[in-house]
Amino acid sequence: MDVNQTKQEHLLALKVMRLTKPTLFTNLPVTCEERDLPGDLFGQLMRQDPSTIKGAETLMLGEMLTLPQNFGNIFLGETFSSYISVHNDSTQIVKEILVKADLQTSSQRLNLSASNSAVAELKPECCIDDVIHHEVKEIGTHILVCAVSYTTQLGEKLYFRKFFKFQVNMLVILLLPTPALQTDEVFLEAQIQNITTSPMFMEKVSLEPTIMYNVTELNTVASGDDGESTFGKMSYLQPMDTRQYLYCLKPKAEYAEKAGVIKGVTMIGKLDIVWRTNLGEKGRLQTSQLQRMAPGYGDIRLSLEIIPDTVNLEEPFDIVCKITNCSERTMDLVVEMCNTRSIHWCGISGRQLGKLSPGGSLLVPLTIFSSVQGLQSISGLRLTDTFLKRTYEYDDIAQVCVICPKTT
Amino acid sequence: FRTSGDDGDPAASSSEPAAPGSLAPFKDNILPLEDSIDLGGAEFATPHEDSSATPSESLMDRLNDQMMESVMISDSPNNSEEEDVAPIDSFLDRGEDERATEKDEGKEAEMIQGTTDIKIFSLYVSGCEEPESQSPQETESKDQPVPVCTIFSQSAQPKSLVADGFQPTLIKSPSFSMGSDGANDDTATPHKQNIPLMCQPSPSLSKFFTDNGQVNPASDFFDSFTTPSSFISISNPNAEVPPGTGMAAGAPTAEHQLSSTSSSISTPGGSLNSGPVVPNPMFFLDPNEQSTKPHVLPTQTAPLPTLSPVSTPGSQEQPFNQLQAVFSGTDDPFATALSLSEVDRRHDAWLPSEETRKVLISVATQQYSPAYVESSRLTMPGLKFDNLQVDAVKDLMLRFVGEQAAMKRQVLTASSVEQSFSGLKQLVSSKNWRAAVDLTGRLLTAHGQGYGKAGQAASHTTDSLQLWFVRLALFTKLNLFQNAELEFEPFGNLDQPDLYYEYYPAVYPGKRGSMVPFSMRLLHAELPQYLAKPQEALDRLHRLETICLAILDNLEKGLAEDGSMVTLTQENRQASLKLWRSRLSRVMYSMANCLLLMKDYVLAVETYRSIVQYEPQQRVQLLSGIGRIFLQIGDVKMAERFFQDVEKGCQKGGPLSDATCVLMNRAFVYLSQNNYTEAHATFLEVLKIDPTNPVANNNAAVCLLYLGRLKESLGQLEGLVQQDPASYLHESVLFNLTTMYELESSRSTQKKQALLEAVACREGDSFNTQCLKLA
Repeated sequence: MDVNQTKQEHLLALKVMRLTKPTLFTNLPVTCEERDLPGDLFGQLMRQDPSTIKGAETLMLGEMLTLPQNFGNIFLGETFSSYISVHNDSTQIVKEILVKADLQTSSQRLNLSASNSAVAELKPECCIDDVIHHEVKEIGTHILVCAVSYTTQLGEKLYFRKFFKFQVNMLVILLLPTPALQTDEVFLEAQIQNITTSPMFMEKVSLEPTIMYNVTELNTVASGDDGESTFGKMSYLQPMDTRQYLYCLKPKAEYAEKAGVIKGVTMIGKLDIVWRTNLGEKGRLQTSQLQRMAPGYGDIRLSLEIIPDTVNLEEPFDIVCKITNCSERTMDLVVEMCNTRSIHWCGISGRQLGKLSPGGSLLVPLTIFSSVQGLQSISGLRLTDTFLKRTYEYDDIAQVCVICPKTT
Repeated sequence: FRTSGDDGDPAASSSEPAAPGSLAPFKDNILPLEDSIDLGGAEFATPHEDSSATPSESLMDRLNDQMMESVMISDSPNNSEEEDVAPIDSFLDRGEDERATEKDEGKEAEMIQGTTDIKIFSLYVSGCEEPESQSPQETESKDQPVPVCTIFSQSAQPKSLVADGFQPTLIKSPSFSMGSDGANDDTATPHKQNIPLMCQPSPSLSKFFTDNGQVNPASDFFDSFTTPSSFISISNPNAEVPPGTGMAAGAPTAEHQLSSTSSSISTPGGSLNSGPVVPNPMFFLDPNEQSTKPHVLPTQTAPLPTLSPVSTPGSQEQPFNQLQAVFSGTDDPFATALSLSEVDRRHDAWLPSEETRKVLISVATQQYSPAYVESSRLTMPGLKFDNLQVDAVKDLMLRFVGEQAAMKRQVLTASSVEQSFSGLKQLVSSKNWRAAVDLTGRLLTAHGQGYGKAGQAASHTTDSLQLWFVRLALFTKLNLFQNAELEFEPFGNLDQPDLYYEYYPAVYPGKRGSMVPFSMRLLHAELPQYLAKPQEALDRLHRLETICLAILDNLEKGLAEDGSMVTLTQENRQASLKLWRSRLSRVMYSMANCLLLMKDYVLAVETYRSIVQYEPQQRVQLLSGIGRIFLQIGDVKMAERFFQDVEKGCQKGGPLSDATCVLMNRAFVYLSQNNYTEAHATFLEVLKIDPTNPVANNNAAVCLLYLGRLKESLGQLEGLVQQDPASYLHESVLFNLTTMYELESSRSTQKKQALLEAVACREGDSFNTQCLKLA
């Protein structure tokens, strides 16, 4: 029993109960047939049981609500609700009762009480009730501090406090880096793991991009509104299940053009997650702005505008390179192509590309053929800035699949 | 600064009043400043200051010290450590199972202890070699009249009463005295002669039947009943003797009468004079004597000539389900018998496995006698648990209310009812399931399948299997799943040849099909899901489904259920189709429930949906149930979609239950939107059309609590429990009520005790006391 000496000296008792959602009572159907020994007895017992569904007694999940059994777990983004009850255990009227509920986190102290005014008097066997709600925004230890002060009939002023500690955990969200591409697109993969012990319905997982980006969600199989989710019919996450969400971010044209390239650290957006558990208990989490370190392009950025994915063996094909001057000065470029074991460049090596001002870009069409089958890496491109006599080497720019065409 | 020594002493630190400086928010509060913490530690007398700590550090520091030990939320004892806390959501699914399992383990330990005693006892017993000792029995209850349970000798010779410490033969009926708790504890000790009458009888019963090397006791004993119910009395002349007149019935020739005690029971001989004892057919089938046939008589047959059944093997009638005969009660016994054989065929049909079928065919074609079937292919069940009869309510009464009040609690025990099917039904319907389990044990013991009989040759009858079914079903209802599993074990997969009527061509000529009732197969299939083996349960359920489908297929093809070329009348075929469709849907229900327990919601929902085609009249309930599953997952949108489906299907002016259901669903949606005000209002609307709806009443009260109206909520629930205890003394309601008591005041224990007393007046021994949260 939790009634101890200390408390009994007080006229008032303070009780606190966390209000998670109630649960539905499940019953355990045991049936028999009319001809069996118990006859209709089991059926009768089940019909009399108030918790069964009338007309479908064998349906396990009933409608009877039961109050939460214990504290449970609480996760960042969920709402902590609690019932605070101050009960006059004594036989005398108590006056000027002030109940305060504060939540102490590792960084701050919040007042959760609905009202901060004192109750004038409380008769014996009466209660002061308060239901507090707080959306938890920090992880780690939280302490609910409930303080009660009151005046006895004799004018004695008394005061006591109680502390209730709980831990706030966080859903596991992993943001995985995706390989940097030679395009402006950014792929973001978010892994979400349900570390609670109950199934969790992901009501919303979306990436809200910053103004510089457009986002495409890649979590449906077919496009359009009715696209089937990649997760199939499972709208929920079982305990310990992990789910991957994939997003493709493209810089908006105006920004891509204006900046030429996106350099250094950029903000790409934030992940917004809304989930629900038992009877719609809601949680919401928003990540801070996700940062992306743009790959360092150096002075010149070379990207591919056009490249086939599959080519025939020993058959020339065209690619178009985009060369962007990322430096602060004007460059005068010469392009050289060096053959590798498999890749053979066509055309003249050492061609002048002309002057390129800062931020400017130009398109260079090139022709190549491969002498080896299989997945071949395009390498051997060299750009030389004749002003500074500096050479930039571009290997492994892209890959093509080289196949042997069927001879007819 | 706090030293580690301080930290190590929570009592000291917890009782240490706060340094004023550390309590910035409360600085201006009224004095005396005092912390009240749920620690048992003594009040600390001298406050001292943590002068060196900065205020905030000091606060956190202090809090942490105390919290470790003392903090609790919701004032439940085990909530202070998050690690300990079972997640709420899993409670219903898993937590309860776990608790049940724990409980079971405890029980089992207890029972094992009991059985040890029994064994000692039976050794002791078998040491006594005199098989036919017939000294009168002595009990301290000379003045107490009338045994109800008696054991007869199969042979017609007069026998005196069983002499020994065989208490169950002496029962004060129908009322009985409650032994003290201490006496209860002693009951397992066999050498105690002066056991109060209400003590558990099974040990002494098993004494009769254990370790008897020479004779198969089953052949020597069977029960006779003083039951007024027709089906027993017709075959039992003794039953005509009114119980009060000292109808002691025959005494069994117990091989091992231990102590010769004189019996206060009136006239052991009296009953014998009334004519030779005819065994009750229920327990008659003797495995060892092929000639013995059960005497199952149609209700209307004239009282059986008093004959020794052993000697008259030819006298048996076409056996059929005795109960059915009783219930159908028509005027013409032959017509009844005919129609029953149709009903029998329909209900008993089953498709054995190929292997079993071969054995059955060879038995039928008399290729070999059943005696040659290897014993591994036979079913040899036996009781594994004795003495379940524990009254948890009474135990709590003794602990919390006192001996006097506890004495007042009267529940039926296995001994206080007729030792018959009707007594069993009485126990089941009065919710004394533990006592009912004990009674099934006694009846099975009398049938030779008692304690320790597992693995020994056994005979099966329709009745013995029905008894097993009731016993195992009650174990399940009592959440004693492990017990059920252990006793199910000898039955294998319920497909052994000796569980089919064809195996006994002499006893059941021409009768085909399964002796095992379908309900028992279903129970067997469902059981593993409660023992954390849902996959196995699913496997078994799918096997049942396959057979149901095959039987339906046979019927649709114009064959009999088992595929044989029997012409059925259209009427019979329709009846068969109806029965097997309903069985199929029952299996599907079990599958869906099992999937729900497994938390495989996708499949569970699919399965529930597919039941709609078989049970169109349950569409509303099923779709609403699916909606609730989605709410449980948190998928409110899908839930609403299903609820809308329900509403579309419910016409205005339809049945009351439809309107209730629609409103109930709406309330749940409000609930999931955290809109407790609307949810409450909607539950009240349900009450407008159905004022006595217990679910709506309870749920409205729960909503009130979330609205911060504890007193009102409590008042409502308390009122309901007082006004209509039959509906509201339910686990879920009581759990809510006790939870609110705990929240309301420090005197919750007293209030819970009041509930306990209310429970004690009404509920049987199967009441689950955990919901009172007293322990």
